[in-house]
Amino acid sequence: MQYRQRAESRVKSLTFGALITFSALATGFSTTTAQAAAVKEYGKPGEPIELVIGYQPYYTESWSGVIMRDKKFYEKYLPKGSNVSFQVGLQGAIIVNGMLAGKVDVGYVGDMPGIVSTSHPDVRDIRLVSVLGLGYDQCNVFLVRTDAPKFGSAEEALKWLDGKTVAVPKGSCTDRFAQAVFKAKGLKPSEYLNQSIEVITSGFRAKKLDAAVIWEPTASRLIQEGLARKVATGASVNELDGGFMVMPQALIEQRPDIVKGWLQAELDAELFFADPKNAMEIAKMAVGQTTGFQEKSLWASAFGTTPKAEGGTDVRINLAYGFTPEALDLIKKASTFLVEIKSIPTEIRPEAVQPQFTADILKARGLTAPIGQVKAQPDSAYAGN
Amino acid sequence: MSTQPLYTRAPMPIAGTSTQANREGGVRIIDVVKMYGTQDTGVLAVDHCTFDVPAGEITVVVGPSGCGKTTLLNAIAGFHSLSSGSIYLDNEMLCGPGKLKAEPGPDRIVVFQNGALFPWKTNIENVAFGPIMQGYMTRKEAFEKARGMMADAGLHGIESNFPGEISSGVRRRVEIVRALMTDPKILLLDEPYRALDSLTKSVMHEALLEIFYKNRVTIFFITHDLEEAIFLGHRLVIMTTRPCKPKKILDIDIPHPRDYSVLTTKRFREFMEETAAAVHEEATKAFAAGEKER
Amino acid sequence: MIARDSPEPDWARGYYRAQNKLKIKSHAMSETELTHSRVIASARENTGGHVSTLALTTHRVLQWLQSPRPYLMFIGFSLFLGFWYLAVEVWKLPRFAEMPGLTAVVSEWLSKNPTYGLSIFMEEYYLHIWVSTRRIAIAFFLATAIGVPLGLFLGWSRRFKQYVFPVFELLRPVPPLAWVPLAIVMFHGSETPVIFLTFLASFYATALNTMLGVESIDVSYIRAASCLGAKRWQVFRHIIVPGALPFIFTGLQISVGVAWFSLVAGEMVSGQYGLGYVINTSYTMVRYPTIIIGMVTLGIVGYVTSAAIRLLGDYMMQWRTRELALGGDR
Repeated sequence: MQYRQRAESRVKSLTFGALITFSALATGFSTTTAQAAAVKEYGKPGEPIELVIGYQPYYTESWSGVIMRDKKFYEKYLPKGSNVSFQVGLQGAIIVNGMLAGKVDVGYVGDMPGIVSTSHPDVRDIRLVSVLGLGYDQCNVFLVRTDAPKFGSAEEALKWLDGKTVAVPKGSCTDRFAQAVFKAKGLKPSEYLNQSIEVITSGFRAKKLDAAVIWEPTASRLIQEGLARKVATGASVNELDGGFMVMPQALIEQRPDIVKGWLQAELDAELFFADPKNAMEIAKMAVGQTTGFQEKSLWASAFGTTPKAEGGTDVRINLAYGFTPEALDLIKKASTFLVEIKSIPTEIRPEAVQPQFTADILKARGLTAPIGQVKAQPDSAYAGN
Repeated sequence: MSTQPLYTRAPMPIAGTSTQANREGGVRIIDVVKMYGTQDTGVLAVDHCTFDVPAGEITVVVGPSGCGKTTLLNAIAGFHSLSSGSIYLDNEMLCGPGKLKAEPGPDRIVVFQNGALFPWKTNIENVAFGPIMQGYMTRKEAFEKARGMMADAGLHGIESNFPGEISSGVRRRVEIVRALMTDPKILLLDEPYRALDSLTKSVMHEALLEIFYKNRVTIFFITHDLEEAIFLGHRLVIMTTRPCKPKKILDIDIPHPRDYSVLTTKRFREFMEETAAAVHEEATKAFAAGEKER
Repeated sequence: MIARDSPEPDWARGYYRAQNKLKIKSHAMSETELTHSRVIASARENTGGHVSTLALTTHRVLQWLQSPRPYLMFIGFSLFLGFWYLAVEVWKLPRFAEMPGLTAVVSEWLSKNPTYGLSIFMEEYYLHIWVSTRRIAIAFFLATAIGVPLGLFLGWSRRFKQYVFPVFELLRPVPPLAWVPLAIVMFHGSETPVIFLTFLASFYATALNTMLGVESIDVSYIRAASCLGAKRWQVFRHIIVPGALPFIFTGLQISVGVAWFSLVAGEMVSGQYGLGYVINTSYTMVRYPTIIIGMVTLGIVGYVTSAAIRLLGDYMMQWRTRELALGGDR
């Protein structure tokens, strides 16, 4: 039929045309693109540098970053003329995505996002360079709705979670902790939801959630606002959580001077954090860098006391700074678990942990890891209103 | 308002007195004025228009575009209100002082310029629409009657088609059959053949006359085509440009039944001569005034 | 009369073939339109009315397969995928180098043991698709059930429009994301807020298009119906509703597309299953290939739902399909 012939010739001419266009595009592109995947250039040692710091004022364990931003300890150690900008990340995963995209140079993240960030070397090689802190109730906080029954012990509370609706922000340190506890205790929630902090807050408010696992300071805020109760923490199950500083390998290779400088400043910041006299000042800094939080909640997230039955601890944050055996153990356990739940394809690469910088600095200053502790203070120590 | 007699035949008897006016379908338009908008800023469409549409006859209204003839038709049909004046149908007041807008109803059915067959109903559903809506026939009965009427009009075979599948000329014929289903007193045709080509038009004219001869329904026909007007009409009303008013009223005494051979008769030519000048004069005025079709 | 020289619409060609298959005594093409129309009508009568509509659809599909269109579609996709592959994996263009490559995504998607847990062999994958589709179906159904009547009344009654339309228009620009907190608080359970968020944009698209559909109906139809003695509610049922259908179906196609958009926002609230959840979670879990898998799946399922609506519309508005197929011959 005449139409069929016309159609066939039309297809032929179109395919031909497509091939021509395609080859044209191909040659065009191949001539214009010289470089391959851009590895970021950080300049030569000694030159001033532009750094983007991704940090989390909404994550108490990493508040050395908050202190760093306020006190600017890094100005002493970085070359003159360097420019440091701080970007707030609401979740570790956001900072990790930023680092993988090459937009963030130093990250203050929790254990799960930290390990995950090292597992994409084909995109960008990222390494752990310092331990911000270890704790039993910074990430690992189980909250339940206020009208849940009163539990005699943390064990009882955890058992109650079986068959309930639990929410976490997936991909965060709380996700790992929650899943690890469920596995260890043989618990199975009826729903395990991935919700952001705001959605969890609304969920508690609307009495839709039975429980959530949330990190500080949001955990303290929910408690302060009467939306939830703390019933168990990592202390109840002897499960540590940790915060880590991550940097891209490109920065480490090209500018070890910057890495050293920043880590010197980090040490200063952690020492500042460890001093109990600074508690109110730190709380005030946190207020200035967050919105929607009361000073009391922020203070309580780092320095507040919780009854032992609810999982309270004396040492709120163990400021390791360097890679202590505890830290290394946490990294290994966490990594294995993440492979199991298919968050990362393989165990963490051995070279992803870079302890030598912190080790060198500690030696030079005559200190050992852990360099200090953030201890719980009685409520009376709070000097605000 | 002129006092000169406008017609070539004796004037219609006054309402309520004589026989001719009482026959079904006669419309009397008395001193109708239609103004759109306010006194100062409005547009006068119809200016003291008075004439009769005799029952059982085809009255054709000719005038330039936009002169207001559609307004008159809409007033009779009940789509527009009057500003003043009155319109009577068979000695009953359709609209007038105290009731400026008539109700649309099945006794006065309009066939629209661009066709208004419902495209989502089949032809037979369209034709049977009137009686079914009014509820005086069941669906089955209405379909029976519709089939019969369509066959009478030579439209057998396309009942299950949709209007979109048939040509515009055939559509127009179906629409007229639909109009006739409800036994209307008067059929109001608003330039129905305007959008058709002249070949189709000639077929349409003969079809319309055929329908007329069968049903003897009063027809009020608006057009701007003089030849069509003379061919179809018993009575011809030539309107001035806006605001419209009868300029000249003629009785076409070419005998019925007519067919297209009539076009070449001497009498036809005489009528054309008589009226062409008047029509052309108004058309020139309208053109100068830059009329747009309402 | 259909001129033989003009390109024959697909529909007509398929239909003639159907006619021959049904062994109708077809007249030779005679001069008048009337005869042609009679031929079509008699074919329909011989096959018992609407059966020919299905035959029509089948033939249109066969016709489509025999036309060059599927192959052009194939070429289009190949170009797109080819560019993706080359840009990311071969040439490593500056902005593309860090994206997940075509091979990475495809191997993950088709793998029996996927690295990040989602592939076509995983049951979970189909569960996500099912959950999302179910949510879309419910939200879309509600949006249609509420939006179409509302739109019809907005177009039909001026008084109603004066009361309702300003509020309607004020709330319309608010995106689903902004409703998230209110949705969580207002609605019971965790499924209902998601459906509400998905329903919103869908509802607005449907209602607005329906209203415009009513307003677009030529006033002559309404006048003709009044002349023929139809009362106001009869005009509504026989003229307004069918007359607005083309616009309504345009609105429905838009509405289902917008529903899919909103689903991703809505599933942030739900947190457990669904394609939107897959995309959201893959971001925080830094599973880049899975994000792409989620997006592609969403695109495919969304396309299928849209096409289904289009087909339904074509079926319900046979009068329009045939009219368009005949080249809108007036």
